[in-house]
Amino acid sequence: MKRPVRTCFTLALSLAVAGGLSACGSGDDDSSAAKSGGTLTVLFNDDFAHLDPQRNYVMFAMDFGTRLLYRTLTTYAAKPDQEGTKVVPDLATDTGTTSDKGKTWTFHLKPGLKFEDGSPITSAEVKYGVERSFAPDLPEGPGYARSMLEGGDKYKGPYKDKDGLASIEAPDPQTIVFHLKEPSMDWPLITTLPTFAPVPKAKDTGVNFDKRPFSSGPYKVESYDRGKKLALVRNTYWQKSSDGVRQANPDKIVVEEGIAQPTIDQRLIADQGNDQRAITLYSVASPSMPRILTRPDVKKRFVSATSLCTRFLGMNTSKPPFNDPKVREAMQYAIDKEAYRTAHGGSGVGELAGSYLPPAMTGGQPQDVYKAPPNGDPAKAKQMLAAAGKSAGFSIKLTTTSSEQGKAEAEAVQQGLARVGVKVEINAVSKSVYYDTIGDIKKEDELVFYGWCADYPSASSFIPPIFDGNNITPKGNTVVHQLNDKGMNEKIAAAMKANDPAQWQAVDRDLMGLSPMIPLIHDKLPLLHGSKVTGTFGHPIWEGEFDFATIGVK
Amino acid sequence: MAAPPLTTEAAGSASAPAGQSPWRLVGGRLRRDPAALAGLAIIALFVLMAIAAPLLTALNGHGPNEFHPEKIDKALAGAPKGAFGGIDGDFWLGVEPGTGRDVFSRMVYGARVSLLISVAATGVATVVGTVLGLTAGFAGGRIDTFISRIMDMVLSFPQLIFMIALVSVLPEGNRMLELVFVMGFFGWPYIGRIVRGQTLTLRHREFVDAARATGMLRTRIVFREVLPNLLAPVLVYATLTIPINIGTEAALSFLGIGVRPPDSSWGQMMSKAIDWYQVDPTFFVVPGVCLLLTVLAFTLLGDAFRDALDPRGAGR
Repeated sequence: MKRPVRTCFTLALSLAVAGGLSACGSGDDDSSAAKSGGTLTVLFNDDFAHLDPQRNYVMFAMDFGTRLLYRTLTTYAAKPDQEGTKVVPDLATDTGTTSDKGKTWTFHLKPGLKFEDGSPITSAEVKYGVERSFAPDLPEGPGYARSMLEGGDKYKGPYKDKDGLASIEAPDPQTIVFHLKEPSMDWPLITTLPTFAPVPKAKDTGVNFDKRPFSSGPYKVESYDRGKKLALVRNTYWQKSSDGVRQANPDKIVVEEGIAQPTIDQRLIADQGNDQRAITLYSVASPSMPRILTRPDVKKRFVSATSLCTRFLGMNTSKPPFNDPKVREAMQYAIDKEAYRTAHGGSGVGELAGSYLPPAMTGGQPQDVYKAPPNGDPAKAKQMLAAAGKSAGFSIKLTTTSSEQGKAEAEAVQQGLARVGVKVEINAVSKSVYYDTIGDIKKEDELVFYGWCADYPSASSFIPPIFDGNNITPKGNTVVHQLNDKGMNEKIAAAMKANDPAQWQAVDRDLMGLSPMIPLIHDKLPLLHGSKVTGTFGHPIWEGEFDFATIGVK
Repeated sequence: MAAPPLTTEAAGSASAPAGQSPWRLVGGRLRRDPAALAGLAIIALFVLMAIAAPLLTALNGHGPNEFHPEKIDKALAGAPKGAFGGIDGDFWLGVEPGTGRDVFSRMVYGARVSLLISVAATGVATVVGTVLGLTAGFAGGRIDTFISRIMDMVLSFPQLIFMIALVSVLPEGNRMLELVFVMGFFGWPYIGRIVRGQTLTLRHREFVDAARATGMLRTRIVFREVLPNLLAPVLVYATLTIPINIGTEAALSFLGIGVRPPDSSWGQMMSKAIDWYQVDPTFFVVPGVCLLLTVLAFTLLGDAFRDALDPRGAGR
């Protein structure tokens, strides 16, 4: 349920090849050639918001954390594309068992698991870790445990409530049992989240745990100078035999922080010295793309994978003109998605979207409801506007971020709508207040840019948070279109129960019929690595970020 | 009430040949100064361009906000197709990366923004500065102290930072007007101080005393005796302020708080070009050269003005 735009508003672009991955160096071939040893350098334009497992809720940082520093009950296979969305056991021996159709879940831990100091990992530490996520001091993590576990609404975390949460049981050191409020077959997907990483009570430093998370994974923190450098070295107590996912190839991983993205791109393009064993942690800047894609030797080192994210243009249905569904529908034809995508980084950064759900969540079948051409169909849109009594056009405001890219994207929308007589005024606000601005239902502009990534590959972490009208809140609103349609809410609730991809696809189609948002693109994350880095592929779960389980250096 | 001397010094030197008015003398000096003529020519060119922007874009047929997707490579984040940023017979200065908008059209419309804002802001600063400076200098006493302290206060603000803060908190409205107001607000004390100083020296000059002795009203003294003598320094100073304001407007646009998109301005073009300079240097060169030429032209003209009005200082 992570909003992609919160962390990746500068998303650039990627390679325009069908399937993306197959042409960007096959992960499997590289993995077999990968060998242990060496130092991997990771270049990053910022600092991690949180490395504390219970607070980590940014896609690429969740990948970094769960693949290197902490293990969770279950995790995703270290494979590209659809195979990567498969859940596999991690700390647990299997992906969880339930005897009552998803209301109670039991996991057994593998024997011989150890923390970085050699102490054993038991169910008590897993329980304590999950309980930490309830602490009001550590609110940043995903809310699933809080909302789904029995008694989760009252529990205030282990610092205030020493007795712990009764709905998490640890009957013996190898067994952990979860009692849910409502049955859910999605629980094994949810236990992949870093919330479910073990933390020993004795090592818990509260809010300072961010600076020095205690490792249960293949690496531990050697030094961390926030904003400058994070150095990871091997956790000698981690055993490959107990871990079916992580290869832990490099001996050392160094994250250099606070480098401007164009500088990172330049260093990786030049591919000199240590930079040959370096990667960019986040997407390359879009103006770097021509220099990457036009040089075959650089292009070979380029990776872009589809993710579970969609970007939208939300229409505020609470006020005119978008309270009229006919006007909203006309916008689906008026918009110039191709121009938007070019401003966003070009045809490599994503597939044009014809509906809301990323295709990976509906069995890889993209759905195009209105079948408008990539540049839109202004003639048809004009007709529809005339039919809705708006032939004279109207003036609206569009909220975007004040970055160059944010403005360029807004201009692309502006010129598209200008073709049908809709005058768009651009309201550029600072990135740091963007979500507060559009999340205020009273002050929200008529049009807003929005985006959403699924936390786990199920439409139930995608559709309800952004389309269910019951989730509208006055501030910090995630249902930015503010459409509260009773019939639709019921359909969403029914689909939640059934959790069948085909039914979700039908909901997606019905939603498009009501047209509260214009789907723009399904994202890809454009990444670049040095020539001596192996095992590089974008993992579909974490926004298309490199999978740190397989990465290594030559 | 003879023709007022241009400046106190010029009047004292009495070097003007008989039969020529001082303004005509200045005109003659400017005409013989190649730097001034060059500056004037460049300014005239840009002003003409700005005025004729709709005509010029009608000539090439591309509006400043028209996207031309066929001119850019969609797979490469919208890098212009063709050499030198896509320059050809149809697009004289190439196209903007990412959108394919005509750089020439945006450049001429950008000239409107840059010139209009900087000249208007200079006008505001000059009028306010002259009025307040004159009042302070002529009235003296508490009024002088009050106005002078206000000037000191405004001068002591870190200007660019305050401009950024002010422009971002001002209510939604006409951004160009806001910029003019904000730049004028921070510009007036400079001119105000010069005017005040000049007024203080003029106040005790013989011709002012004489006017006072004849029983002339104070307001009449100000307008007929003092103000004409202030024109020369004010004019010089205003001419030299324009290039500074052009730079400030570009800086504000560069920092993203200039005119609203899709309106173009040179600073906004440069800010976009920064990201692209390695791929498309042409896009960086165009607004850069325009800014350079305009600022240079106004500076040359201002210098020439000063020299012509004050020949003793020429050749400094």
